[in-house]
Amino acid sequence: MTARVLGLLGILGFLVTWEVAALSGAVSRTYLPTASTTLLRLGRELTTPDFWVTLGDTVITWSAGLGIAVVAAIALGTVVGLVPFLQKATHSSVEFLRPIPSVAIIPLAVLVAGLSREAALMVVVYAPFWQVFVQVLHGVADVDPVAQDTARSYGLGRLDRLRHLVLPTALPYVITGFRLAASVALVLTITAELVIGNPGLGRQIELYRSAPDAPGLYALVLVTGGLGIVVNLATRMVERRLLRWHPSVRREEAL
Amino acid sequence: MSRRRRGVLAAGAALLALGLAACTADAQDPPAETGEDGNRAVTIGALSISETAPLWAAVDAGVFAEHGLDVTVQPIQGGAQAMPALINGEVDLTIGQPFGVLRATEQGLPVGIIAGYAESYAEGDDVNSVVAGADTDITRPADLAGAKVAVNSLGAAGDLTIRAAVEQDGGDPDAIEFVEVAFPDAAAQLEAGNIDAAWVPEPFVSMIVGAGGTRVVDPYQAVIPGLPTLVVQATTQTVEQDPELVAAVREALADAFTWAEENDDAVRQTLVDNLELPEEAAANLPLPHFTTTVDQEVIQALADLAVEHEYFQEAPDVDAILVE
Amino acid sequence: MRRIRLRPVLGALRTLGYAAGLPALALLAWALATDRSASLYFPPPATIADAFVETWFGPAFTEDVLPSLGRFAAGVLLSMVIGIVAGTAIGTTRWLRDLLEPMLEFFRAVPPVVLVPVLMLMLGVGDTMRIAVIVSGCVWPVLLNTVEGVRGVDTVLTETSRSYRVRGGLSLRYVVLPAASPQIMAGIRLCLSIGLILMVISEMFASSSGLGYRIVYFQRSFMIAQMWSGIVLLGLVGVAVAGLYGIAERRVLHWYHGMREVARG
Repeated sequence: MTARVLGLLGILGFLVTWEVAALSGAVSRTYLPTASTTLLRLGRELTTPDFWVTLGDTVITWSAGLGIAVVAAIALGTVVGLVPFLQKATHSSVEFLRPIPSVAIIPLAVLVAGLSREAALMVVVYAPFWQVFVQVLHGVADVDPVAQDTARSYGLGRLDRLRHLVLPTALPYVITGFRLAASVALVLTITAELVIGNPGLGRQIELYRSAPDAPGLYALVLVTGGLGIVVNLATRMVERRLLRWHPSVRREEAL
Repeated sequence: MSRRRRGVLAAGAALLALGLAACTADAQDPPAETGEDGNRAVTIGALSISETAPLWAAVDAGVFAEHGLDVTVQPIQGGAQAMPALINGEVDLTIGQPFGVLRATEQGLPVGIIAGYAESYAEGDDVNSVVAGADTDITRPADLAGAKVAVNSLGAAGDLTIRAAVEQDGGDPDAIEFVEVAFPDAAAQLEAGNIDAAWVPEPFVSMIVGAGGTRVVDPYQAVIPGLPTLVVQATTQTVEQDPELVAAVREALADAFTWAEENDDAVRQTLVDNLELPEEAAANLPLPHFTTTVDQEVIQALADLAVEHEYFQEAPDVDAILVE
Repeated sequence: MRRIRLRPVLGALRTLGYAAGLPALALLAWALATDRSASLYFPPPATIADAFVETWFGPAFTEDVLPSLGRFAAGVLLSMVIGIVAGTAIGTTRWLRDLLEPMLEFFRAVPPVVLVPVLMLMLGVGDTMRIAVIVSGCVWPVLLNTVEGVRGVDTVLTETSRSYRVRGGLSLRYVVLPAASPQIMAGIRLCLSIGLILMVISEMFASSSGLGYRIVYFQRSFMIAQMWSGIVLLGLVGVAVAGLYGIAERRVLHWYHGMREVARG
């Protein structure tokens, strides 16, 4: 209860600081609108159908990118993680490819795919893929060797072991990877829209910036933050759902 | 599966497995698509800037349809990014800066100029200008030496002509400190004192001058008067295999410009519709001179200048670039 | 005698084979694929290697690569300091946490790239702005992980240390921070990879030098092999950063890894 009140106070404090900073004129009002103007503008944006189409574009690119990354990473990660030879053989390549910042491939994506959603997807898929992939590897590696041996000695087949041993062990890792990947993918989606210019919130921000329409720009910045929070809350909820049985979640709920 | 999608998959494979991805730029054969009314479908890539207004207006008014062309104007983000779209066959033609074509041919990309589109003014106020902030003492090109000057994208016609203009005026072009700032951000950066001068097109020139800025030099006009700001570009493949299309586009575009001159209101209305400009701003916005002719000497001068200032290692073959 | 000598040699060869096998195969496949059809966007590896040497072993190293790395290091270090200090304060103070949590969640969710125009206005177009862009994205994982880590410190541990009158700074230094360090290190790891991304993004705006700027410039100028060489260089930088992090992590968390091994038996 008090936590919620304090939280609201924090938000209020931020808005007041913003309002005062903008009114002080340290930065010209043309470029930094007041909090109140921006919020009013946000209210107006929310009532236009165009806004929802733009938001939809972003959500589609984001979910498509995230989906491709997660499915590919789980499939490849499980195979590589279960086969020691593959794991050793791919280790150096993975360690090289993983840290390449995905924005570095924006130029390449633009050359290959033009100014399209496909180009944006190349950028959006890249980083989250590695994030989940590495988590899957960790997860598969975490399987208790004793349990593994026990299962084998009881005659459990490969598929059964995958289903009853590997999957439950790896799931928390995969979910953590997924949660991280979801927010990274969102940041990349908006960045790609801004730099590449495929339809979505990022492009609209760039358009407002060029207009120049500062209230519109900041209203959309607020939207991107809000969208990020929604994504974060949603993935946390998924995490809780899928890992109800897991000690880390159970402990959290007990507290 | 589209060529583009195949490209994406191939590139994805390359990035994931570091290999096996060379099959993207495979043979391209733009199919002669026709619309419902038997018109030839043409996609033209164009920047979402005020210069595109006559194209938007003329397409809406049906000028291109009279020439058997069903034109779609595809918005593109940046001049250099249009080139891949052109080569991928995503668009049939693009409207972009002549410097981009020179640069692309220098790197061996198969593109050429099939017609002019817009050019700067040889006299009077030009359509782009270097403007200095209100707090600076910069009044003439030579003063730009030692100053922080913003251009939208380095290594192109903007900084090239500014260097030449400064040199003409007796300044040291190497002393200019160039920095990339997007056109819309330039005014704010000038006001904040982060940069000393900026090269911007209209309406930003008027905005900055209105806020107390100084018009220092119109670099295109000062160095290569009448330099085209935009030209119509196509791949050499289109040029060779589809001369009818090239001819039809040229004629239609010439008609479009004549029509646009007589229908200024319709042209300016597209600025309101497409760029969300306020009506008043749209009515007063200075536009460049629209023409389909390209002066070979002017393009040659640009190429020579680029070689002189070591932007290019060797002179591009302007004769080959300009399609007869 | 001979057998004893042969074994380590074979082992080393095998390690080398595993490390270099797939990259070599991939390069070979790439070379073969690009050899037959001259692709515009995928130049043969030899061309990229040439471009790499030509582009980066020269003035570009001091003009573009070093400044980029400097800004990256400054941004990441600042993020770590701010994140750990602020995170510890917020994590140990209940009311502060309640007050700031919603705002922190919001700021973390804002893509740093949309803040570039604002930061440009306030901080100019120089290095300060670029470092600020890096910090604006990197600070969150460190900060939030520190908050979580500090908050999650075993209550028994804190109670015990309190009963032994270990308080304030001492308790922070010897009890709270070490206990939170696995979480903090995880945050730093994220911070590093986000930092590299932001280093590149910050150079895509208002720039005239830097690794990110150069790569975009090459793309715009259709210098494809050079562009690829830049991407490869970024990959190498990423590997180096990950390697350094690995060393640091082993140092900081050696007790933790040891504990886990014991726990696993």
